[in-house]
Amino acid sequence: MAVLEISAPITRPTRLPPIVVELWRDKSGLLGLTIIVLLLLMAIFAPLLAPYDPAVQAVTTRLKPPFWVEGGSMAHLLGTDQLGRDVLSRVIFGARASLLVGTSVVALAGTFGVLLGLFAGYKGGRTDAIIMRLVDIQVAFPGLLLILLIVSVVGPGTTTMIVVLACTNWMIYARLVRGIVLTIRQSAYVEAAEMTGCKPNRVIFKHVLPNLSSPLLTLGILEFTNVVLAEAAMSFLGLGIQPPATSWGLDVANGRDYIFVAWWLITFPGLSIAVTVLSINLFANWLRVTTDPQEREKRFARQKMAERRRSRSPLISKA
Amino acid sequence: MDMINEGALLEIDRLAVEFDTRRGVVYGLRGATLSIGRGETLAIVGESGSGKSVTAQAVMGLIDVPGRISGGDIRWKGETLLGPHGSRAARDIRGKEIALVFQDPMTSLNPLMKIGVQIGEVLRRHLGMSESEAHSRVLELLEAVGIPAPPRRAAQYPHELSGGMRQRVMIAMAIACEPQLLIADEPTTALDVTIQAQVLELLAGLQQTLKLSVLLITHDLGVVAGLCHRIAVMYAGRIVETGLADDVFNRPAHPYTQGLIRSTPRLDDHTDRLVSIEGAPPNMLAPPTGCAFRVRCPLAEARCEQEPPLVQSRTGATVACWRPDEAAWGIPAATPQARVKGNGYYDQMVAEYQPASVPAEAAAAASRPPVTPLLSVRDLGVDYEVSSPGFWGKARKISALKGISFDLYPGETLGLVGESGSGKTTTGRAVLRRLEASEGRIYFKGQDITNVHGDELRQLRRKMQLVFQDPYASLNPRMKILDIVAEPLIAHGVVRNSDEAREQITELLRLVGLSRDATDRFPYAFSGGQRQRVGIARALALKPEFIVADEPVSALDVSVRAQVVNLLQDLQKELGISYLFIAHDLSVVRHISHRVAILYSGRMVEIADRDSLYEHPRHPYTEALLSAVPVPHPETQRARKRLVYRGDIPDVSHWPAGCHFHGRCPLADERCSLQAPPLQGKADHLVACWHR
Repeated sequence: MAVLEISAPITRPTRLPPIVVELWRDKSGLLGLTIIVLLLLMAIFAPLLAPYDPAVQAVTTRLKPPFWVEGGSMAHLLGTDQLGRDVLSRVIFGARASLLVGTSVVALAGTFGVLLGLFAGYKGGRTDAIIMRLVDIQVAFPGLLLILLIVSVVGPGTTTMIVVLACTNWMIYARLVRGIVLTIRQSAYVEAAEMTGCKPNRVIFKHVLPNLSSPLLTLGILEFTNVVLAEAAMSFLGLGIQPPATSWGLDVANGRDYIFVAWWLITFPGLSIAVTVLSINLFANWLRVTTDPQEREKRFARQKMAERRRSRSPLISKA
Repeated sequence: MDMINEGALLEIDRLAVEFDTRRGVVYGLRGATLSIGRGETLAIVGESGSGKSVTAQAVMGLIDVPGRISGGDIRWKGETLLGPHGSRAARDIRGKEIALVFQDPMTSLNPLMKIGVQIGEVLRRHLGMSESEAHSRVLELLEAVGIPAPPRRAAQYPHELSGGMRQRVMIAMAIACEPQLLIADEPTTALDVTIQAQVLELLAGLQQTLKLSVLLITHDLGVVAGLCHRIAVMYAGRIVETGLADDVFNRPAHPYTQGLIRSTPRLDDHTDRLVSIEGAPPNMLAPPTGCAFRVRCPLAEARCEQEPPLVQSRTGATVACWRPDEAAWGIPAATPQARVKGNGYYDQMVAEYQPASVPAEAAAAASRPPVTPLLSVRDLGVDYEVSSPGFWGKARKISALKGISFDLYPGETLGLVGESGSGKTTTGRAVLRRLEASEGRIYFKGQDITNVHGDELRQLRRKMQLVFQDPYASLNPRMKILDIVAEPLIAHGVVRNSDEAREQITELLRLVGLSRDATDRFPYAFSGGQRQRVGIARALALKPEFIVADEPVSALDVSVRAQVVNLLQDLQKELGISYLFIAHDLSVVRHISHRVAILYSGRMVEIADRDSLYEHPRHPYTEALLSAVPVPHPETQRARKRLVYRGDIPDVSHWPAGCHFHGRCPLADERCSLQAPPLQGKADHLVACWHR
C-alpha cells in the first residue's frame, strides 16, 4: 500500500515550531489552550488580581447585583453574595481549589493507575488477574458511598478530597494502560529488548512507557475535567472544600437557596466550571488528533484543500 | 505507445496524484501513461512507493484525503472517468464493469456477514436480482472460483474460511457482475506459496473463460512471469518500461528493469551473489529531477538530469531512458566493498570471532565437519496455551511443534522453510529460549540449555541473537539509532550509557553499511532496508556466535532484499556466524543456506544439503512447494510441471492423525492417515514419508 507508506510516518518525536504552527491553524484548540493558560495564571496570581479578600463579609452590601444590572455598582463587578462577599474575588480564588484538586488528583490517580496497569499488562498471568480483579471491585463499588465513608471518618478538607478522588479515579488509567501494554508487549521492538537481555524493569520503563505517552496525555486531560466536576459536586454536598476556603462548587452550593433572588451567585461559578471543562475538551480534541499520525495527516490535507479552494487557483498545480 | 488506442479498454493518460502531508507534497504518480486492451493481462510491477497501488486506486476512484488527482486523465472505452461528468459515469462503471481484488482478503470482507449474503448483495445492488436469483447465482460463482461445497460455504462467515478461500470469495465477488476489467492489487502477497499457486491458476483460468482483461499489480516478478501478456515497470511514480512479458524478461531495456530481474533470487539458479541495486527507493517528497533512477543507476551521466525520452527498445518495448538496451549491471563483486578502517574495533571483532569458530569455507566444504555442532536440537516440541488459565484453572494447550531435530555447525546456515502455521517461527523462538519447550532438548556448544533461567539465560543471550522480520516494528520509534544499537551493550553492563559506546556503535553501523551520521537520527528517517541493517547491527553488538534470522528480508523490496542477503553472507564469511535462516521464500533460502529443512504443520518433513534438496526433493510436500514457487522467467515458468495440490494447510488446532500432509498428498494411503512417519534416510538427506 503505497499511500499508507507515504502518508503515515511512525510517530515522530515532536519538535516545537511545527507544533505551534499546527495549533495556530486549529482555532478551537488554540482557544482552549489560551483559556486554560489564562485560568492557570488567574489561579496563581489570585491575590494580585482579586479586588477583595474573598472571605471578608460586609453586611451593608449584601446581594448586590452585577454592575450592568440596575442596583449594581462598579465596586463589585459581579455583585456580592448573601454575606456581602465579592463574587468576582470568589470566582478568582475559587479557581485555585478547582485547579489544585484537578492536577493533584490526575497526577496521583494517574501514577498509581499507570503503574498497576503496566505491571498487570506486562507480567500477565496471576499478577494481571489479581490487579484487574481489584480494578473490577473498585469500579463496582459505589464511588459516592466510598467518599462518604472516608470523609465521615477522616473529616472533610482539601487533602482528604484529593486522596478520596484519587481512590475513585485510578481504575480507568489501569485499564487503559493494561490494554495498550498488551499490544505493545507483542510488538517486535519489545521482544527485541527482551531478547537482548534487558531486565523487566528496563523493558517496562524504557521501551513500553514512552510509547504510552500520547494516549495517556489525552486521557489525563479528559480526566481533569471529570475531577473538576467531581470537586464541584463534592463541595456542593459539603464533603469537599470547607469555608472559609472557597471553590466554584462550594459557591454553587451556597448560592442555590438564592437562585430566584440573586441569579449571579450560581451563574458565575457555574459558568467558570463550564468554560474550564469546555476549553480543556477543545484542547484535548486537538491533542488527540495531533498524537495520531494518520488523523494528523488527514487534518493537514483538509486544511490544505480548503486553502486551495479559497485561493481559487483551479488546476494549475501540476506535477 | 499511442495515446488514442482504439481497441483500448482502459487508458491512463499522464496521470498525476499528489498527497498533501505535513512534510510537503508527496508525489504518488508523476504522469503515468498506460493502456489495457480487451482480454489482455497487464502487470504493473514496482516496489513500494512506486505508485502501482495508487494507479489502481485512482482507476477505482478510491483516492481520498490526503491524496488528490492533480493532472492527467483516466478513460474507460474513450470516456473520461474524472471531473464532475466523469465521476457520475464512473459510479456505474466501477464495481460493475471494473472490479477490484485487494491484497488482504480478511479486511476486505465484512466479518459480520455470511459469505453468500455478501456476494448476493453485490448482485442485487448492481444487477437488480431478486433474493432467490442472487442465491443461485452465488452458488454458481463459488463453484466457478473453485470453492468446494458451495451451499455450505455460502452460509459461513469470513473467519471460518482460510486465507486462500477468502481470496477466492473476493474473486467471486469481483466477477459477480461479469466485469470487463479485473484489477488485482497484490492478490497473492498475503498467501502461502502453494495457495498462491492455486489462486494464480484460478485467475488465469477465469481470464480465459470470461474473456476478462486483468490489471495485475505486484512486486513479485515471479507471479507475473507465467500469467501476463504485457508488463509495465514502475519507478518513482512513472512507468519506465512497457513491453511484452517475454521481451521484458529476456532483454530488459531499462537499467532499473535489468537490476530488478537480476536481483530477484531464482529457484532454478543459485549464483552465490545477487545483483543489488545500491541506494534506497526515492524519497517521493522530492523525487530527483530528470530520470528518477539516475541516482542509483550505474549508467547515469549528465544528460540523465534531463527528462528521458520515450524510445523503442530493440524488442519494441517502450522505455523512458537515455541509454536503453545497454547492460547496466556487470558481474556482482564477490567480496564486500573495501571498508575504511576505523578505530580497530571492527578488526578486533573479527579477531575475536576467529578462534571460537571454524572458518566458514571449511564448514561448507566438508559437509559434515568433525566439529561438534554449535546447536543441537533433539525432539523439540512446543505447546501453545489456547485459553488463558483463569484464576485457578489450567490452560488448555495445543501442540504447535513436535519432534524437531537438527544440528547447526559453526559458520553454517541452515534454512528453515515452511508456510504459515508450519512452526518455523516457533522453532526459532524455542531455540532462543524465548518460548518454553514442552519436550525435547536444546544443546548449545554441548551444554544443555533447555532449562536455564534467570541470569544464566541472560548470559546465554549474549551468544545468540535474533533478527526480526519487520524492520518497521522491531525498532522502538522513540529511540535514536545510537540508543537502539547500544541497548544490548547497556543491558549486559558492557557500557553504562550509549554515549560510552558511540565508537563501537559507529563501527558496527559501518559494518552493516550505514554512515556515521545515522547514530543520532530516529528510525522513521530510514527506509526499510536501512532499518533492517540497524536491526542486524543491534544483533551483532554483543558479538553472538549464532543468529536466528526470522524472515529478515520478506518485508523488503526486491532490490533492497538482495542488499541485505548479501550483507548477511558477507558477515558470515568474515565473522563465522551461524544462521538459522527462517523463510517462506524458497528462492532466497537457496541462495543463502548450506542446508535446508522443510517444515509442514509443526513437523519436519525433510532436511538435506541445499543442492540435494532442490535437485532431488523426496517428500511430496517439498515437491509441491518447489513447483509452486513462480520462477521469474516466462518460458521456464510455462514449461515447468506444476503440482498444484488441492486443499488447505491444516489448522494448528485440528491437526490430522498420522502424517499431517496425507489429506493433500497424492501418495497417501491408509497407513499415512494412521501413523506419523519418522524422519529417516541417509545421513545428509532425511525425509519423513512412508513412500519415499
